[in-house]
Amino acid sequence: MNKFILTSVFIVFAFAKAYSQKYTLSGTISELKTGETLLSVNVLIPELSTGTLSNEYGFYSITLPAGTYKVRYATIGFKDIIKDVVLDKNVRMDIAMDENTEQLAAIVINADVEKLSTRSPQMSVNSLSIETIRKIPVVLGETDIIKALTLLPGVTTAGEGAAGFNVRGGAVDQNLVLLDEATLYGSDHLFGFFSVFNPDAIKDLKLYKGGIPARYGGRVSSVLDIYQRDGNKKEFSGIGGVGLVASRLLLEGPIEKDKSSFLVGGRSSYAHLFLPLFDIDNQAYFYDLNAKLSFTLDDKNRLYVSSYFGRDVFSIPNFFSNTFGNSFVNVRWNHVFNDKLFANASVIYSDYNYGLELDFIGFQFDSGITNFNAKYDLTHYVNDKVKMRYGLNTINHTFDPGRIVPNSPTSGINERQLTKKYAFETGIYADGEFTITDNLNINAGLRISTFNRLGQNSLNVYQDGVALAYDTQQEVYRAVAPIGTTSSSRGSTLKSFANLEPRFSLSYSLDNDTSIKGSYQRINQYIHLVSNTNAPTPFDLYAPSGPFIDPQRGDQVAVGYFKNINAYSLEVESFYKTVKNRLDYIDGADLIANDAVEQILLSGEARAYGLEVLLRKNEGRLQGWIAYTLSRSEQRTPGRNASEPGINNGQWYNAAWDKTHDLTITASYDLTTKWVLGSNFTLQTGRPITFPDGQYEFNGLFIPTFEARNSSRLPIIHRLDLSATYTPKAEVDKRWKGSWVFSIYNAYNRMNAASITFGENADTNRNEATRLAIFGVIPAVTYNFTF
Amino acid sequence: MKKLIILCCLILSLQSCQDVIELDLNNAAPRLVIDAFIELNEDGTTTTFVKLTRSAPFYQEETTFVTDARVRIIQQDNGTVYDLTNNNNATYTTDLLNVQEDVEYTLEIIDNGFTYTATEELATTVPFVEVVQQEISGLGELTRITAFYDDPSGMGDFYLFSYRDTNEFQTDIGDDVFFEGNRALTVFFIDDLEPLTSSVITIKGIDQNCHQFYETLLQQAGEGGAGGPFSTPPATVRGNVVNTTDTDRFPFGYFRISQVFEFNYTSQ
Repeated sequence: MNKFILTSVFIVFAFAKAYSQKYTLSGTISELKTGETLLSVNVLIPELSTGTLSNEYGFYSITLPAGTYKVRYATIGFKDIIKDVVLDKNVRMDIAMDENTEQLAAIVINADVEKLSTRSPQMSVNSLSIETIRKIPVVLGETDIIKALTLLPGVTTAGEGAAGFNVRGGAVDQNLVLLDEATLYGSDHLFGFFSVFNPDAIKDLKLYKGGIPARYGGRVSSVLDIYQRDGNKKEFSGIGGVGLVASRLLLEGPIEKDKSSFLVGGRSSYAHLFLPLFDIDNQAYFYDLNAKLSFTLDDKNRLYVSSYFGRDVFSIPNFFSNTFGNSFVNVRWNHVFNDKLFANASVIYSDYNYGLELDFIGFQFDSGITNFNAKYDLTHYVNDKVKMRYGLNTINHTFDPGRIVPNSPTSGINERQLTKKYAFETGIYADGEFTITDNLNINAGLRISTFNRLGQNSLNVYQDGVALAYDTQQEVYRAVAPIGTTSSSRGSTLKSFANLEPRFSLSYSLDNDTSIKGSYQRINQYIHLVSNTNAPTPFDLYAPSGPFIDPQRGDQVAVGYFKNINAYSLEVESFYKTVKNRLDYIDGADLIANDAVEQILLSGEARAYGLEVLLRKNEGRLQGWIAYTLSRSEQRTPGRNASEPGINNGQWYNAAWDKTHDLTITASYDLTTKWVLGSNFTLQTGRPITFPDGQYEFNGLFIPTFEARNSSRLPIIHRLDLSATYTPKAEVDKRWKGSWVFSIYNAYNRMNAASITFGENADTNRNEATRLAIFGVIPAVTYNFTF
Repeated sequence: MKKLIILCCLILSLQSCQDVIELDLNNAAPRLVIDAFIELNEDGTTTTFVKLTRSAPFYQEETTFVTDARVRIIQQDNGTVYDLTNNNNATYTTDLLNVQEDVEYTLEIIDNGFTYTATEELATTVPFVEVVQQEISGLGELTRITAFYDDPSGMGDFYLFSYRDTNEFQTDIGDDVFFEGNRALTVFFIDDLEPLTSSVITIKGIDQNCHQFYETLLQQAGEGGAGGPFSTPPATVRGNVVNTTDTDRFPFGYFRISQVFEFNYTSQ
């Protein structure tokens, strides 16, 4: 540990001293037309075979020996800019990049940009531009970021209608989803049919599947880092779309030209408005609101205020009504200390709320998770060979498992507040990107994470601390009744955890177009989604680690081979990950409004391994990719001692989202200047399912008996989706530009099994297996516009 | 325009479909299934009933009866043994047993050389006080039948409910977590309930272990292997009857002793 710190400090100084007379070129890169800052723009100095990228806020900095250089700024969708820079002192060069409108669909990658990406030690990243995502045909024509990410290797879902997504065999609660640095707890609307992200508001997104840098922590499997647009600082404009199921509208503009801007967007579904035509009073809809204010205070300071509010609403009169969703507000302040030191401070309030009213039983239920997050991140561009990042992140969590309130004076329900839980989580990190030689680059970082479970009311006390017992005679696990409760103040600590998380990745370039990369990460996760269904329901809540639950600890190793061949790029990666302390549940566990989950939990382990191949064509009229993943994801929960069987007899069983083969072929073709065709084809192994091996009748009920958990498979899934986008030639003096997207989901109407249920037919009394397929062929039309 | 909207909505709704498929399934060795109870009825009489069948391959339609087992119940406080006689089908009954509170009864079954036992006590309960019917619009022809009862004060009351009419049989369980000491309820949702249909709604007292058993059992009956996003993992449902000769050849089913109240209801 000490050796590691010493070595890294030595490397930093060694390189800092190696050259004298160095100056720094820095600045902010933004879009010419709107003033929107641009991330990940390549800043290249071909003479020195070096370069850098602009950060999430558009800031870049590179330190070079004194001299004159032709600096090239290049990024997808924009025209390259070449500037002559005389570097005889520190130079501030802000750049405004112009859109590349003639070939909007073509992505011009030049040799220098390629070289930069193969040399970067960052691996295991799925990154898509919004333009690419918009061209992918999806169900009901609604552009969906999560669904687009599942078309790349290593990302999947537990099926149509399943919320969340799974990365490299990891569970849904192991993904850190960030929108403008605020944590979101649910990424879906309407049970996974739509995502919470309004694509018009999004500037950039990256999914880290492995090699997760030290500045991120708290979730074991992935980080989905999404940045919203700031808003047009030059003129008022709008963008929106009208679709079959939902519509959206986003307005943006300057508050003070070139200095500040606002962005307000909303999206809502309205299919439920047609239900009264059929005399149905039910409601099922969702809506999101995104709002952001950006201020450029001076050339060293920027301030942003972002917020999001989204809800899903379901209701059936006299039966139930249900509302849930995320919201957050965050304030961020960018400060440039000097040419080499960039800082961002964020203060964020975010929450996920679930509300349910069951009229037929007579109560209202409200639960949720709230957090208050303060973070400070510094990027130190030491020189052209060393870039350091440091930072501190603190999160104050409140978990409210629920409050039950009678909804009328005649209801027999007793009012009850399930015990609120509190925790304080911190992370402090240091991370360095080092160019060791021309061919060898490494990222090395360390994160120290801590988690303090704070005092609460009514903590159950059990005999010998054992909350779950095994009845050896009847061979079942049973909850143990507590012997009492204790209460302690929020200022005290029930249990604390502290962990070191080393993160390391390297890339070795074999030549300008080829490299091999490797990475290792350890991440601890302190909050767990308590859910025993195949995919989470919105009702599932997070439980913090504490006296009865240990944190999840994940380790992942990945190696990869990367090659660019003219217009194509090839990425092959292989990974192996293990997760300790993965929660599992006893048979028949009832999680609803459960105030003592320690009575139904067992601690297990998970592991996943696989091979991912991505072949991409990035240039020309035909673009797209072929993605193939071969993987296994499994879980095991042995008994706590020799006399207990554990879950599934302590044997490894396939995770509910495990897919052995996952092949996707996505293509888009610019047919003419007005028409773009899109398609994707998916072929996947069916998800695991447990088949029956018998049946019996008991108390008038038909009961199947089952084999080992998840030991069989649903049938193979395959599907073809097509889309065609028509953009009529825009009239020169009119601001309004529209385009039509025609799409067909599941073009050949394959009935892919979402589930199989086993039972007795109510009419014929025959024992049968019934397959349910959710979506057949679905055509859709969407009209998109900008003004 | 309206026709187009209706057509689109219809297309969308018709697009999800269910169909029956044939699967090649494995067959586990059959186990004894014990559906046994002693019930104290409202009029003071006791019904003692044991039904013995065997589990079978999934697609087998006929139920295998066990007609030659030896079934007895031993009252633990005075050692009285009640022999149950087979009714030439799967059921074994006796009229001699009158169940008492705070007395343990042991069920003993000898079948194919194996001895199965379970010991239980009477779980008391309360009668229904009212039944209310309401129509739910928006989900087809769904009727909601709510049966009310007064939960005794003190935690630890568990219930087994059922609704039976000529076309329908539903079972549910309940506890007193939400309604402790107040007027509690259980709800049944019946499809296509015709007016003037006679039904019997029953409430039976059970203990916590029996409640946990039914909780797991009803999850299997409801969805089976499912594999859909909301299904829970299937489980082998273990009851309270133990094979004392060979613990690996455990039986399915449960031996329950309950006080029972019935409510006769005619739908509107």
